[in-house]
Amino acid sequence: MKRRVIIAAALAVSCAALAFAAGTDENGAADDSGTITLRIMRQFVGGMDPATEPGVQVINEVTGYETVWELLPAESPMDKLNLLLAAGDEYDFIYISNSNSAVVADYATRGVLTDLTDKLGDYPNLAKIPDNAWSRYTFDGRTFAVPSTGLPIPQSINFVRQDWLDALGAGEPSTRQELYDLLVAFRDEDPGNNGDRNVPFGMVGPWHPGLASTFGILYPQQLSEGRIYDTRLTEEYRDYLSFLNRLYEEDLLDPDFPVMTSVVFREKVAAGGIGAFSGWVDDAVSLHTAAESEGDMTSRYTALETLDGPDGVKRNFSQAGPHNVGFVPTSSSKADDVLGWLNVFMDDANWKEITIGIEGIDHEVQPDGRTFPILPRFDEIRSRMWALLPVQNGEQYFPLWLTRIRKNPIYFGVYDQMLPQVDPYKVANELAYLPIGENRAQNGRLIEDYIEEESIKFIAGARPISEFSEFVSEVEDLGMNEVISEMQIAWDNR
Amino acid sequence: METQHAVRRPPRRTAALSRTATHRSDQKRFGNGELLLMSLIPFGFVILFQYVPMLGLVIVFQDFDIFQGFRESEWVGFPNFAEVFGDRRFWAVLRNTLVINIYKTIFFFPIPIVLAIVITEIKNRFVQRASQTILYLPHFVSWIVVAGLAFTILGSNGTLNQLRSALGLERVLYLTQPELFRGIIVLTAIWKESGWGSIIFIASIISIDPQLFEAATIDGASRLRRIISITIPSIAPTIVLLLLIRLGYILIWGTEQVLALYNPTVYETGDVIGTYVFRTGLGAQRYSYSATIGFFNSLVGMMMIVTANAITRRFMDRSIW
Repeated sequence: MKRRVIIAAALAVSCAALAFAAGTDENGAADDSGTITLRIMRQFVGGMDPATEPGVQVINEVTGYETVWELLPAESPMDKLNLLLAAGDEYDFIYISNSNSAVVADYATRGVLTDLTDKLGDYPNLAKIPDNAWSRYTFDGRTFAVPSTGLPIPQSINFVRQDWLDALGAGEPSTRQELYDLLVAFRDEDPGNNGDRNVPFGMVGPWHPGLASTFGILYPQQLSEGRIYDTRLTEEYRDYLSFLNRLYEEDLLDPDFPVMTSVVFREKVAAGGIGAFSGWVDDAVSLHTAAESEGDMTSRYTALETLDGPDGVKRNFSQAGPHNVGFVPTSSSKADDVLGWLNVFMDDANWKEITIGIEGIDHEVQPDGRTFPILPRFDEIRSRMWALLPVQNGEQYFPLWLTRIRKNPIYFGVYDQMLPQVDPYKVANELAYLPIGENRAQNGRLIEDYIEEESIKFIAGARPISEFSEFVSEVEDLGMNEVISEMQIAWDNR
Repeated sequence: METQHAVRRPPRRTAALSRTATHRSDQKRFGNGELLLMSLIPFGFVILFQYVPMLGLVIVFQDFDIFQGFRESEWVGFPNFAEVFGDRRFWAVLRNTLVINIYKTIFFFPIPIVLAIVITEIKNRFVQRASQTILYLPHFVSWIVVAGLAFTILGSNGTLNQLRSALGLERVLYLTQPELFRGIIVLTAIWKESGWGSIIFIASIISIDPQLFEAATIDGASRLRRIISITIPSIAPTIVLLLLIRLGYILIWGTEQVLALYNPTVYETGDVIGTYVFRTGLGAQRYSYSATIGFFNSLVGMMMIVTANAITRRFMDRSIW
């Protein structure tokens, strides 16, 4: 008897719980004060907790909207995104990085994205995003996503230990041959007195336009007389791989190159054993931080001026081009509110207040005209603001961004020294804004992974460079020709 | 020493016996109805979480589209299988998976058994406890950290190479030699999991009736003789059980480990099914393709268990069912 009573009570409780759950289904609509609430989802950012992120508060205060942020998981974010779009979860705006942007075309054809075409005219500030960026997400005349454009900074840069240069009394190399000779001197004379740990040259992964540019390669795909070709299937790329293989065989390139990850690489740099490296802007900063955290202030790296191309002309890879992309799922009923929010965001005064704050409180203008953040307040509130910009025009943002990097003496030192060395030589990628076609969306990732794997093997000598023509046909078998012809059609019809 | 051993064991045994007695009287008092009712919970759990999801396997015969779900995705028959089995690289990774796991079965599997025997033979309780704890610890280190350690030891300027250069030997790039990779996998697995794997054998050895050991000691059996004639035969059912379970996982076991330790220069010997699917299937969101390989893994695993079970039943008179 007693047992029956307990069971009945348990049933009653669970029924009540269910009813309660059904009754409190939140839809995130406007609250009593009339503020509009938007649910934003963005790609994972390490170390950021959106629930406590002070930058979100700044954005809400400046824009007058109540935004609630969530992050996609670090692991397999696109699987999660597929699932939540397929399930019709109620997110109002989702934005992802350019490297995943191929999914937008797919989502648009499946009808899970809101068609924004007829609404955009009502939000004039969005017109600050250049037309070619919009065209990337416009299919049959209908626009389904809000693009961002990247900062116009050169990305791939070669660095060299200034103290090693000084010890040898050597000048900065300006051609590939001079760089090679310098590395030989690093190996033979060991200016860092590292003995067995001496590594003249290091890098992570095989693709470094800062070196490939000396063979005439800047971007994965380039144009020659109106025809698009993939640079990795050319003689020039073979020569690039041969050159790196030679560095590897002659103990100039880090023997651990094939197993190198950016974390391990940072440790190696911090330990002081690497004389020069080909890296990326972001690495440059973290590597300096690593070296300095070891207390080794002498191990300063100098950014080299862009090396000469095969014709003697210097060219550098530019980050300008598509950046993040955001969209409104059809499950959200707030497309107009989202565009309204982005429109307020893109207002010049608001944009400035969000990214660098108010003069005299968050930043100050120094006598030389340069703007500097006021620390520590700036860092406490705005250190992760870069991750919270749902839309941006890189060209317009650039001057404010320069203020932001001055919050950290390492960033500042690196960029201040680096930009003049490489900025004059940047060459925009003409093909950057080509829409991503079906073949590229489907096979692009497989092809890129395969090219990377095999390139590492060629460089480390695990595959002889004489098999380069076989490599070319293997990549073609994976569907490269279809990708290229698809791009060509898009280019011809642009 | 031996008397201490004998004095320590019997009370435990009595406790166990009395537990069984209570259990029997419980059964009489409540009857079987309640027990059956209670077993509905685990049964329901297994059906809901193990059998129902298996319906999703239909996507191996579909061109699965996550937005249409498996109800509306197009049925295509066998092209997913044709794609998997027609792929030259699939056969290479299948071979690697089998070779690595056979190595592990031969070289790794016996070690926890030996460790368990050695640990239970230690008579000093403090040393016994301490060595057990020390042996379990590596299990709690993630593979990512183990990969970092492996790099520190085996890297171009790692501990091992520093030792070699001190001895005037040439540097060896352990992590980029395809012929060394499988050995590294087996060794790191031994380092990390042997201690943890020995727990179940230790439990099994402790439950052996101490009277057997006492009788053998009185009859003059040496320690080695007692191990060979009492310990090993007594834990044989556990060994067989674990071996069979392991064979069921032969195509899946160790993916995370390989993923943490490998690099393109050793794909030729180190790329296993799990890592290959990770790179070419899930990364590229080819769900049907990945599910087909998963289905194949399960099928092979089941065949392995059934065959091995039949063999052990036939020749060793021991089996899971």
